[in-house]
Amino acid sequence: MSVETARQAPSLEDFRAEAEAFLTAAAPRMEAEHRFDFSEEEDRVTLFRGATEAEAERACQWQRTVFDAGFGWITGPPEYGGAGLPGRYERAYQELERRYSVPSRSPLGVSLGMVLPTLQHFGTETAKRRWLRALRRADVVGCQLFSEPGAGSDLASVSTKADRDPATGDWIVTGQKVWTSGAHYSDLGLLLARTSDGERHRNLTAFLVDMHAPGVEVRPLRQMTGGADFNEVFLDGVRVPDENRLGEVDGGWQVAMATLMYERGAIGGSTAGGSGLFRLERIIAWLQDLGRTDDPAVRQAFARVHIGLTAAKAMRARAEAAVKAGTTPGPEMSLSKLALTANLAALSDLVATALGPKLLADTGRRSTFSWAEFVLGVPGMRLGGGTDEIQRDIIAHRVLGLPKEPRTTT
Amino acid sequence: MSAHDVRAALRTEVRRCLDEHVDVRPYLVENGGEARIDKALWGTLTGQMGLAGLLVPEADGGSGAAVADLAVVFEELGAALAPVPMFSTAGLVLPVLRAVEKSEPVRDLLAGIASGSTVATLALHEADGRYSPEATSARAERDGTGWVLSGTKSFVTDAAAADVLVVPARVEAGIGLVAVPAADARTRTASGRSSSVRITTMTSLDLLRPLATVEFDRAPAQVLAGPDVALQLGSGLDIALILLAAEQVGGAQRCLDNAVSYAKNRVQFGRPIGSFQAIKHQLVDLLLEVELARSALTHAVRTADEYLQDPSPATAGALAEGASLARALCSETYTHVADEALHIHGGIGFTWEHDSHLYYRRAKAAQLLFGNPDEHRERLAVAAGL
Repeated sequence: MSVETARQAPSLEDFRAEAEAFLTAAAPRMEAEHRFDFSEEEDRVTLFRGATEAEAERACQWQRTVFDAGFGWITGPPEYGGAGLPGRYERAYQELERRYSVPSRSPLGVSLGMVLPTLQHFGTETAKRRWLRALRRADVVGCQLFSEPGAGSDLASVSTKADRDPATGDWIVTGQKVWTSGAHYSDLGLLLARTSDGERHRNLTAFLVDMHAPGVEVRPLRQMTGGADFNEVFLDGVRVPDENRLGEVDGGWQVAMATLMYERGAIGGSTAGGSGLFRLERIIAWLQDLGRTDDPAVRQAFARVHIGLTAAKAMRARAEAAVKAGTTPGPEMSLSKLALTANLAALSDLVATALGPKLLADTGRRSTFSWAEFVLGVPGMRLGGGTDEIQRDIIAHRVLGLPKEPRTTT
Repeated sequence: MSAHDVRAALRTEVRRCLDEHVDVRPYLVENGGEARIDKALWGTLTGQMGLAGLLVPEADGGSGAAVADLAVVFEELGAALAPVPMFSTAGLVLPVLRAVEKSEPVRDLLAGIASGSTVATLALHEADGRYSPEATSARAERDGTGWVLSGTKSFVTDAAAADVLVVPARVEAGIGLVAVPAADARTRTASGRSSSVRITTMTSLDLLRPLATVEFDRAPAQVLAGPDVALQLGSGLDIALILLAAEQVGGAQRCLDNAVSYAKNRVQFGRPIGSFQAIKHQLVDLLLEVELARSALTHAVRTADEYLQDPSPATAGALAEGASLARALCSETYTHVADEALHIHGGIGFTWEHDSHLYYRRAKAAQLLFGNPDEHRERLAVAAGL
């Protein structure tokens, strides 16, 4: 299916057949879906995939192949390079792609899941024309420049400054950002910077920054898993044209809130088993391979994982049904991230119970010690994308209607 | 109206009725007191609103609704702790009857339940509080042209209120389903020997659903299904477990709602306690638990309706998996939420006058009757193929 013919909206059956034909030609079918081998080439179980340029490159190449076949932006507007089809086509494609052994797209998670929708919603026409298609085809990769050493959970206190150059109208940015996933292979940064001394929440503006511009320096930060997915980013007099501004001057808080909402949606999407880690039949086969299915503690831990995953999946389905029925979604959506971290913790418990000492040192046996990277990654998921505590605050205020704490800062 | 809207309307209607009429205090059973039900409320819920007949097919005098509809009713009954024998009648006996072959006596009993004229309960558990086909000791024997039942069942809900006791018992070489009219406490059987049904209320943790021991001594009985319906009975019990899970979700939701409301109003240190993160994060965690339990329930209810539409080994397997999954989660959720909600109420929550302990008692009782969470997790692991 080419992008041009997509506008005639093929039937879902035809669309599936075309997708199937493309996938069959482009990738090997997942031979043994019941097995717990995540990749034939490497023995690695991880939540963070994007530490190396090679992984990012594999993701980009696959995204390009998919895009050129017409499946890279199924729901996107045709004027920006999308296929303009309804969401069910996207879901149909995702469902098919899961049956094939394809490179993980997680190095593009921030780029496609956060930067792109924010640009689409808030960008100038020039910026959208320049980058939407390029981001979607992974010719350009985006990262998010929000957190700072002094602005973690309290995002509104960012101190990176953007000053307007009266001569050119450009913005000159100076400051330091941190925890920037994928900055080392990114071309475009979604930046939140202080543009006035006005009131809190009304003094920030959002921009897109060329990560290759003079004055941008990226330094890797090594995380506890041993990998380096994220970075510190130093900005020293970086020039940003006004056409790269997202939203109004001093209206950056609204932009940032929208980005974080996209992020929660994207993270919540993995709650229900979008990730290969959460496939029950694979977990069962892995436990059988290990010969650990007779231990009552393993069986209980397995059942807890099963229950957590099934309930999270059903919670997601309830949220989607509510949206479809036109009623306001209940708390299901906001709770997704907390459900995800709980499920990861349950899986981590199962892995530890099942492996015992084999999690402590490498015996050379496949799919045993390789879980250590996963186990070490779980604490990061409770911090990333807004800490679990920040999520709880949000849910307490917006869903339960509990009063906010009195502020001690302005 | 969509099924979604119909259920929302049903919920509103049931809640309005319960808000108006439920007063649990006169029905608390303490220290060997007699178990009582709210007969007026029972009449309204059954005769007037037809709730006991939701799951009865239209051909048998019911409204042919889905398990999904009945689950909504049980959520609300669980939330209100309504002192009526709905769980025993429509939650336990009815699904079991739906799962077995429809004999004439089964149809009669279904019609009686649908009309609200019959209160029924299932005398299931052995003296150790458990049930399995293998360990079933009660036995039905032929007596002239009829049958008589002998044996003892324990931990029976609403036994004192029941018109009919439905009993899984040995019938010939298998496990059959037998009905015993409770009213015939002392009658003469065809052979002229005396017979009896003796119901003894046990001093129980749950003051609003006391349990009883029922001793059958050559009690006149009717074989509803048999001689071997252990499998169908198992599926019927799985549906009962799901309806009990619905009651648990309703109870947990009410405990949470009460705690949230208290946290907004109770002021300490010059602020509502709900503004402290120690309280609000706790409440969010409870909310997450309740939402996940509700979601697991939704999943399980679907397996129940699929089974009733097309009873097959495949749908029965999915039902068993769904039932144990929902039960394991909803049991732990309700006990935890009831405990923490009580705690958030502070000292007042520990008093006899406050309803917190009634929910705490119900949560604990519902957790441990019909299989505890560990047992359901093990059963789930088996059903999932581990």
